[in-house]
Amino acid sequence: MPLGAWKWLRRSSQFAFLVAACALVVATTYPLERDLPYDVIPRFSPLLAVTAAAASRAIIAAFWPALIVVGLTLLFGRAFCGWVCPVGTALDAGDFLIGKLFRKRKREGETVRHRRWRVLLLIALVVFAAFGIPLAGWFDPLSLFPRTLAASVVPYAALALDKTTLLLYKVPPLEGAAFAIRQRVVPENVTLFSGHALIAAAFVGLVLLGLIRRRFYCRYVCPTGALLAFVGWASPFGRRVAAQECTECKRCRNVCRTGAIGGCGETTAQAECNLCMDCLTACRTQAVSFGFGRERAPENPTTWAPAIKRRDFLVTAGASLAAAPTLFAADRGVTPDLFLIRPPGAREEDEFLARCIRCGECIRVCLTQGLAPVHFEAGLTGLWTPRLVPRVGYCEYLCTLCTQVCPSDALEQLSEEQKKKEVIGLAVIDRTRCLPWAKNEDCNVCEEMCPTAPKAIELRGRGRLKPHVLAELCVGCGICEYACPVEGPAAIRVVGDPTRVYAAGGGGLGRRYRGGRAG
Amino acid sequence: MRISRREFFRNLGIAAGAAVLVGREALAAEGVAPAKTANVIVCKGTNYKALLARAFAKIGGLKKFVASGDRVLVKPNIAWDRKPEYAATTNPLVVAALVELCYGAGAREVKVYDNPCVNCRRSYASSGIADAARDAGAKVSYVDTALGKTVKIPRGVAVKSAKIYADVLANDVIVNVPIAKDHSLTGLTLGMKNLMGILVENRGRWHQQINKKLVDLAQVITPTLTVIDATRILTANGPTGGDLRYVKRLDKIIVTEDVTAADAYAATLFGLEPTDVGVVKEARRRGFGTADLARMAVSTVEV
Repeated sequence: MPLGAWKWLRRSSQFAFLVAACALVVATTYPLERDLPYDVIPRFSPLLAVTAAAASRAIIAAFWPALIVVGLTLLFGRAFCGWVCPVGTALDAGDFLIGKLFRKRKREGETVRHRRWRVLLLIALVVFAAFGIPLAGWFDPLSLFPRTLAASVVPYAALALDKTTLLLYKVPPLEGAAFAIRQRVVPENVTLFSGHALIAAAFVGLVLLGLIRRRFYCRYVCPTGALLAFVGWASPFGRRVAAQECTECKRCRNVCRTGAIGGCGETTAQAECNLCMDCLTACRTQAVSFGFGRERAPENPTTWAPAIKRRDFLVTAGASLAAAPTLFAADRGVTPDLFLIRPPGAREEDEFLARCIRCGECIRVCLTQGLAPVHFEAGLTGLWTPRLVPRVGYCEYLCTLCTQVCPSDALEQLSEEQKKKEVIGLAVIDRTRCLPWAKNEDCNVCEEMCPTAPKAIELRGRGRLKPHVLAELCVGCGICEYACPVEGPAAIRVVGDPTRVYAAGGGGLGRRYRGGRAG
Repeated sequence: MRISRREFFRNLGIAAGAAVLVGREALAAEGVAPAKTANVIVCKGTNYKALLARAFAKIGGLKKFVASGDRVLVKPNIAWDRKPEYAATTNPLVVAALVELCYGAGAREVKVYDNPCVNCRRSYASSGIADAARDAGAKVSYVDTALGKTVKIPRGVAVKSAKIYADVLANDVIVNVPIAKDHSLTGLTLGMKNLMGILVENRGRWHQQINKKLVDLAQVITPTLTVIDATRILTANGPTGGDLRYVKRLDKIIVTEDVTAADAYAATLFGLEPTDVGVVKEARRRGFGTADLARMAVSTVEV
């Protein structure tokens, strides 16, 4: 095989995995009838597996694909980062464009000390996870990627398609095509989530870091890469340099996207090399090769990232140990957001937060687009967990899609029968704004919409019928709030289940009050 | 708009006729049978296609309504994400039978759609109507709420205009196929209420003075035929239902040209008087269609 072919093989692999990952996220939509592993992307991450397990004190079997990545890394080092990771591929594309647009990039020489940041982040994440706060999903590429697609890219595309087809309606010959696209592709509710900009900005920020160095995120930020660096630092497969052929021209060193090559090109940091194979063709004398064996290039001592200083380790671990319980307590001490409604199937709030990896799969699949990423309504650590916003989209009574795609089972899978009994909140009527109550006008929209049998909203009264909520029947689906014809905030609003969030073991609303999900 | 105008004049005629008759009735001596102003065919049985074919034959044949080359809209109730046995949506077999009969009468194209109250993809699938209608050859599509056309209701009492799905107006014939259901605000939801499914505006706002608004709407978008599916009726917890104990199997279908008569007669299936249904009461007050059972020529078809 010619040396150049390796590079193309790697690029093909990257492209294939990127396309597959995008296609999978896009395909994660009603009715989930294709036989696809819709939730598989985050399950490949060893970091998410470890932190979710640590936080929830349970081995989560669903994360078995992470073992494949671990095995791959034990053999080949960080091949996952160079050949598979969709974020890595996106960054490569971004770096390529940045290189074209801004010719002059800083020299690839760097201060090795900065590599420790990703390791310190990894340590902090593990410590936080041990305290029940798994924040790995904020940084992990396999959570970040589906989340960015689900909460930003796909909605942007849907919105663009929606507006474009509306324009096409004004061009008579294209009307039919526009109609067909809208029927098949454009979702029924086209909505941008409140958190879309932050999530998109975070991703754009990662790409722009490529202005400083190529693969900046992979070098200094990615905690999953840091973990894989530990796993793969002694892998048998690696870069080899034939000393007698090497002219010490440093071409390979300059071409290396992760700065793994040291000296005059003869040494390699195994923990950094992601086997992109660029150095194979960069070498004029064919001194570079990749393979198994003892003649692996000597370790590059200058970029040996896993070896952080003891002081760094102790400071980070100590600070995290101090910060984690404080944060935990602080988050639970904030005033409850009454309207925080978790998706159906959500475990008890603490366990839900421990398991949720913030990947956005539930947000992607939600039929009504009612699920949205949380900002800080669930405390600082609840960022990007899902909530239902009924005024945007209600929880469809018999729909169980979100419970089917949760990779870490933070949402337990529900059958249709279980879903009918799943209580996620409680509707409350604002009698100062409700049309029959406040204005003495006819209205039964909330009652008409209420999907339970018998209905959880009853019209009562002599003369003008007025709605009343029957708390013991309400499941909190929010269709009443969604459909309420009062302008602005609805005159009937769903409050979240307060026992979920703030009173572990307490009584009150919710499934415990009603005798559990199975009842 | 061709259809609307024709329908408009036809209804104007009926309304005028009804008004004259009502006036005459007041003068007429007791014991004289009032003139019949509406034909109502009540089908009973389970072979829906055969039943409907015979019912149409009784009112002059479907060809009288569907001319060769006509575009037909069969408008069922697909409002909810419910399986057919829950009687929250029109029986898919009735819809399919109608589609086939319309094609048999020479229709060029038969469309089936409704603007549901919940997610359209789920309700189209769960109701079984999308599959059944498609198998029968109908063009099934979702209502695109971006394609609205504002229609004036010059004689509207509670509403002066309505934003209608534009495609509705492009049809020559509208076959209105509601399912008979319980409803808290209108008493029952039947033929006139089913027409709300062609609106593409904020329907929540239609629920104030709903009965007046429904009669207003029916005056400009008048179905050519109303076929009330009472194969299963929803007796309580309407219009969503959700429990089989609310469902009563009647295996009846009501066929008529007069949507008011359809709604009035259907009330009797629930053991109600026509005027117990708010919208029938309103139609009667305004002389829209035939609300009096005594003025209906009711005949039965059984297979």
